[in-house]
Amino acid sequence: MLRQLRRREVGADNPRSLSTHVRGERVRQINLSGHKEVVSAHHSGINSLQVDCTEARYLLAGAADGSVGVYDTQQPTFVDSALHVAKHEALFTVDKSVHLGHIFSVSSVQWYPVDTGLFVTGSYDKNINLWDTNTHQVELQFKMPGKVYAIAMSAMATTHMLVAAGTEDVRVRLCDLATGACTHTLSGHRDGVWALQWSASSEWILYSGGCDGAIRFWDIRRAGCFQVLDHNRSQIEKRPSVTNSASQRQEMATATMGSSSKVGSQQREAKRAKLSKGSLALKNARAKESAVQRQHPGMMSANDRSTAHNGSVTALQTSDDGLHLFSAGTDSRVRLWDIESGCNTLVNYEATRIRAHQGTQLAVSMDSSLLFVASAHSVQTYDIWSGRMHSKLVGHYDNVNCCAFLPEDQELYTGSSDRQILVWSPPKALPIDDEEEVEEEGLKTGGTTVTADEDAWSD
Amino acid sequence: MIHRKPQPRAPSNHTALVSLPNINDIVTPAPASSPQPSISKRKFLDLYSSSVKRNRVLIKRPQRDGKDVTGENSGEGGSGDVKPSKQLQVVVRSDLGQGVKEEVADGVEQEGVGLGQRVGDGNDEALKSNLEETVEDWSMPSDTKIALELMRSQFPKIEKGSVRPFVLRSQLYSSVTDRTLVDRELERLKLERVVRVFKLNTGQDDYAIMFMADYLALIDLAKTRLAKKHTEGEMAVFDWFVHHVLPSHADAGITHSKLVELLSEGGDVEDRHISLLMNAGLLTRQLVDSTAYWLALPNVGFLLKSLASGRKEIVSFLSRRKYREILQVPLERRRLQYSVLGMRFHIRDLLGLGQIHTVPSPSGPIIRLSRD
Repeated sequence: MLRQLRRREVGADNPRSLSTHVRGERVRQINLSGHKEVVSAHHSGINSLQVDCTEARYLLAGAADGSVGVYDTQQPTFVDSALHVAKHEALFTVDKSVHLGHIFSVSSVQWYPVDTGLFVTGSYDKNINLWDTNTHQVELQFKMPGKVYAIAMSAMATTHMLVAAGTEDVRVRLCDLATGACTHTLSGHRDGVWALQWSASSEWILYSGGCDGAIRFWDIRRAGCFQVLDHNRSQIEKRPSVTNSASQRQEMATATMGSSSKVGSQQREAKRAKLSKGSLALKNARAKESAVQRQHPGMMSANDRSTAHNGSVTALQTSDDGLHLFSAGTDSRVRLWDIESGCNTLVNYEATRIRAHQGTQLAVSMDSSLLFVASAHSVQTYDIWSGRMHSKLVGHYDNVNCCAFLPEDQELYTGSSDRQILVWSPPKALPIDDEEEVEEEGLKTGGTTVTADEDAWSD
Repeated sequence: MIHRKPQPRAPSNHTALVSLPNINDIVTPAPASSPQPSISKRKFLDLYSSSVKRNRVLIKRPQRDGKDVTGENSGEGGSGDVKPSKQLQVVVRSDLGQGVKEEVADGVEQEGVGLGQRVGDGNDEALKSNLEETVEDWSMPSDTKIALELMRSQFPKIEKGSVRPFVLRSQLYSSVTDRTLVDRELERLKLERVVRVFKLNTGQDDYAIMFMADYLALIDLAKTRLAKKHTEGEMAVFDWFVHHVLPSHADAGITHSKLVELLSEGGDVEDRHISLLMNAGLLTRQLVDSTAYWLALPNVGFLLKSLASGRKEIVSFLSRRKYREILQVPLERRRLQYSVLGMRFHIRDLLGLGQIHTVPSPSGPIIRLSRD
């Protein structure tokens, strides 16, 4: 460590490489924090956590009794000096007592990406609320056709402020905060949508994962989804080879064509079979084919039934660089997808136990080195590229539902059904106790009181 | 430059299944005395004599269909005996007795063979090229492949006739440490059509891996069982299945439209053909999606029941013990009451699933039940 500092001083090493190295080391030593605690103000399990992306300071938590709490993660409300633990209590909570507040469980919360003056929450009472942080009131409410499972807003959107909502209903809706209306309806899933994530590289691309096990990529400027992930399509290296991806795309295209025009393919068979078929029959066949294929190009993917998981998709998370997508499913698998090619990279994250009956959250560390997966009562950390389990964070008494990672301090916040929000951080050196003992002594003797800065020994 | 009339090349075809050499083939050469050669005796002697007269120079000649023809006779019997022509060998090795000369060309995606195209007539390669080929054709098999071979050879013997050895995916995970590597190598083996992966309907995420030769033997058995009650036209669907569907589709499941499309390359496909495949046990409808099928192993239900009850038995046995553990050696000596698959099979499977784990101890490895 000292050698690295020396090299950085002299200019032999890139300063950024030193900081990445130090951060990476700290991330790997994450454990239950001995110096920081969040005092949960909720009386039921925590379903969703989010830290704002503007300041990385305020933690938003949504619970199963309909209450939403905001916590300050940097400034503690009081410090327990005996144990040297800083306690963070909720700055405020809103629940069903507030006008238009949620009456049923809050399933998903998110800060407004531009500043922390607003936040959006989605709940099982079929409503999406837009809250004002300062007045603690509901500014806008969207009514959805079914229970809201997931909401997402794009962190890099400059031209739109759309909230994507995944509900029991098979269609993903995009609600506009500026106008107060639903602008888009994205059809394609065959069951409810549990996980939604906007792309980290483009403000127009949305990823959605549903109960039918499919993950779809939507470009909101066009109709229909442009990609459906299939776990059978895989690439063995980190990046796909050029020829493979081109041929696979063609195959995909013909596959979807084939499946959508089932009638058409049978007609094609008929054509191919025997020359004894009259020319009239052939003409009929061709006419039918063209009629079937005149579907809207955006709706072609509706018939593509490839699944990314054998069960439902419970969580989606993009890596920081926007090149990879993690997905967790109820078949107890976490998969890593290459976004560009849409292939499964076949990394096997061992021993995950995802028995969720609702969506959960995955977290990725900032330089994409560790993946945090909530499985049963613990959080397991994995090395992203090899899939090996790095450590298991055990602390909760019930199922862990959500995790949020803070890149600045390399801390992880997890919320679970046991109503606790736990903080996991790299170990911190204990402060020395000199100041307190010296003060006590000074009071007892009544002599000169010594302040913390001064030396307490006589010269 | 010696010019020879090239052997009549068979029409190339995409059926590569039958003549893929696996480790068994390389080790045990095809018997020279096999019946039904498809060339006449006179021609055979002609080849033999001419090849003896030839120079031992590697003659590279472009293949008519432009495919790499790699020396298959390298693996068969090393000594300089009378080696039947390549076509002969291929014919000999074809399981389905189809006179398949076409297997020659695209049969072999040999690992690491960068040999040029050569005319493989007679034992033209002789000893020099034999050596070259044996060195270049045989590349180190991957960990996964070795584990698969090992576990296949240790598959328990079951009295019920129509059972072929298969390996569960969880067993592979317990044998090779790196799971990602296993997944990737398995994918490679699937793409090379050496193995076939099937999803088992135990309700959990179970996959069975079977070597291609075993699977083809199973299909054959299913075919012979049904041959008495159905017409020739209907039985043809099995051949279409083997020759058109299996080579192009490596996944465990297949959609109806794709199935029809692939089968119709062989002939007219009707619903009764697909029902015949389902009756034979080779296809099952997917419960989730009514228009898709799983490719399945026929007559495997008995084994699946065994698998489920064996797992339950071991787990309940361990959970009843005082510290939920037992030394591995006495555990392997116990007999399972509800399963025919054997203790070792189940232990490997449960290790891979993560329900038990091994702990080293001074008196040997201890098998302990994993707690949630």
